[in-house]
Amino acid sequence: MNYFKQIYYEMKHQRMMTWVSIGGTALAIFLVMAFIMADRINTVEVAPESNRARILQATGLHIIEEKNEGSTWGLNYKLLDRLYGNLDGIEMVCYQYAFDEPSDVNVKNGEILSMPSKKVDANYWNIYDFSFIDGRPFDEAEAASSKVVVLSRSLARALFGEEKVAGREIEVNAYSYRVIGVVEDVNPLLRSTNSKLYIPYNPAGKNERDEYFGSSMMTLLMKPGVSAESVKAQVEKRYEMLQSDLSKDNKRVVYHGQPYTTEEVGEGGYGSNNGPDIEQSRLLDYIVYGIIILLPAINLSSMTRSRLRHRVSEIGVRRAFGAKRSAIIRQILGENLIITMVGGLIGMVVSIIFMYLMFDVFFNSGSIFGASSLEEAQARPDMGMLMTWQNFTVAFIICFILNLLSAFVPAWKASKVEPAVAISRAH
Amino acid sequence: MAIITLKGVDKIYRTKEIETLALENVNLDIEKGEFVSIMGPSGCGKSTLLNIIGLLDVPTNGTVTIMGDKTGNMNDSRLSEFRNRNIGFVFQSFHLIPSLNVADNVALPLAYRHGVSGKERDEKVAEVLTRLGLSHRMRHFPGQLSGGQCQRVAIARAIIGDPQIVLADEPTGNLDSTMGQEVMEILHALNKEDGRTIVMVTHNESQARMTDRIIRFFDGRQVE
Repeated sequence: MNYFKQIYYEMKHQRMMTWVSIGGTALAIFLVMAFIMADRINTVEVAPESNRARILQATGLHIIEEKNEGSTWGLNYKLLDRLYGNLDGIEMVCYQYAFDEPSDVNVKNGEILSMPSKKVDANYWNIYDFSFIDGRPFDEAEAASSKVVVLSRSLARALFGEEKVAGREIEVNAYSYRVIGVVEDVNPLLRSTNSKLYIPYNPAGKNERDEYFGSSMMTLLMKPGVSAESVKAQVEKRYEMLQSDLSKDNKRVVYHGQPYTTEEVGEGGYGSNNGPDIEQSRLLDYIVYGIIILLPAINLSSMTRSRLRHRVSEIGVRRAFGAKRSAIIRQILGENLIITMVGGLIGMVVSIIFMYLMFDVFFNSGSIFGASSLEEAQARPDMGMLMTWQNFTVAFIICFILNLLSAFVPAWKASKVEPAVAISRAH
Repeated sequence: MAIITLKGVDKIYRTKEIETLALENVNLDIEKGEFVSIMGPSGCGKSTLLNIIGLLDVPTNGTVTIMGDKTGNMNDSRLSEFRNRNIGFVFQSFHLIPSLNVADNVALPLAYRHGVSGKERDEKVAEVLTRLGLSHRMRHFPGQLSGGQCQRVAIARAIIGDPQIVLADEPTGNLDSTMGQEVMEILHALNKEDGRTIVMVTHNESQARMTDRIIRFFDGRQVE
């Protein structure tokens, strides 16, 4: 309680310095949290991607021959099954068409709209938790028939002027489909689930000529508690077997440590020719965060020293009446933590508002694949993607680190002043 | 039996250019329950002596024994504990913490003592402030009090931990004569009624004469 009293007093009597400290802290927290939140948007678990920590994705690979080499984003589904089917620790898998592309959609004789579409199998609806506002997802048999589709709310409205359209007929790329369900629109930043149209995908029905390359990718849902590393270890063995087959033809396979975790997918900067480098990406992030925290910490440290200069005699008196050095350090750090938390809270609120309003300007490069690039490039996170307990925990930890960086040295120095000297300085 | 014993105490302040001898070969015994005044001109080493007795400063040479414990072997943490339990301080300019109210200022020594519950602390604060006639000022801040009231709060803070020794550095120096007299009466009561040992630095000859013994200093040396 005394911490709060003392801080209130400090704020009243050293207004300038207190507000500069709070402002500096707020700026530091705002900057670092903006970067962290931008990064975390790739991994934050929100519906319909509530299982992101358990999801792995397998896409293309790279095959090198003696004189030429080839790579692809999609694979033959049989190869996908050979590499990723029936792995221990996997709850279910779904096949998807690897190349999201726009489809022409219209009601019969109506205006044709070019809309982003995804082709997915029935398990897709079990891996992701979409919110259906009408109808239901398609099942395995319906997916095989390829005669039904799921629409997003906005597409249903664009086509029919209403949302309850399950059972109605539409045309997709000039083929007739029945609308089986309507889902809530998904934020474009959730790239595994954002689309306007979900068309059944039946890879077994495709006649793929190449035994390796094709047009499918796979999403795997791990059982709770299973680590990505254990799955990757199994996959590695399967690639070794594939490699031994390919070696007979003097070919070499490069698969970049697939299947990718959500963090690896979000890290981006990879394709079929190169894999994500999470270690380097994290190192760069930490360097950026470190610089953003360290620079204001140095300034805040001198502010703390300056604030403490006014309180040398108080520290002397506390020491005279039995405060140990550790108690003085705790007292100063505790008080400073409150100031840091006030600044941190302001910085956090500002960063959430900033991300909500300005994310597309500063952070979103958009998707370079698929037809939804413009929408994705203009996408902004929902409040639910920003106001997560993880973000607040990270902000609290950073406040704590900033507090230690900015106040520990001044507190330690203040505690080292001899009590007699500290008391006499007041005279 | 001596509660405070100083043997061969020197205190030298050194800078790069100059060496100042603040205390020279001080040998002193103060008995338990004694009220002692230390007098001398400004800069003669009175406050330095009080700081050394109060374990706020260490002698350059010599030994300080308080309540039978040689203090030279104590580390900083042990010294803090020892001060907390056995020594109370009253300063000329009160040194109350302006951001804390009277009750919190008085409770300060107990905040650094293990095993004192909030309830015990509150009861002790009320008891001490009632004794010093300040129970109605408990929630006031130092800035709202007169000089005499501030010094009474400082005395309450000095005795709340029930120390055997109270060190007062010119306790009436910042007060008018009426308030000064009031403070002296309180110090005498602490000595006579509680049996506390009191060592007081003062410039006031008449106040000093009311104590059991006067120790005079000149140029860092004990002259009487």
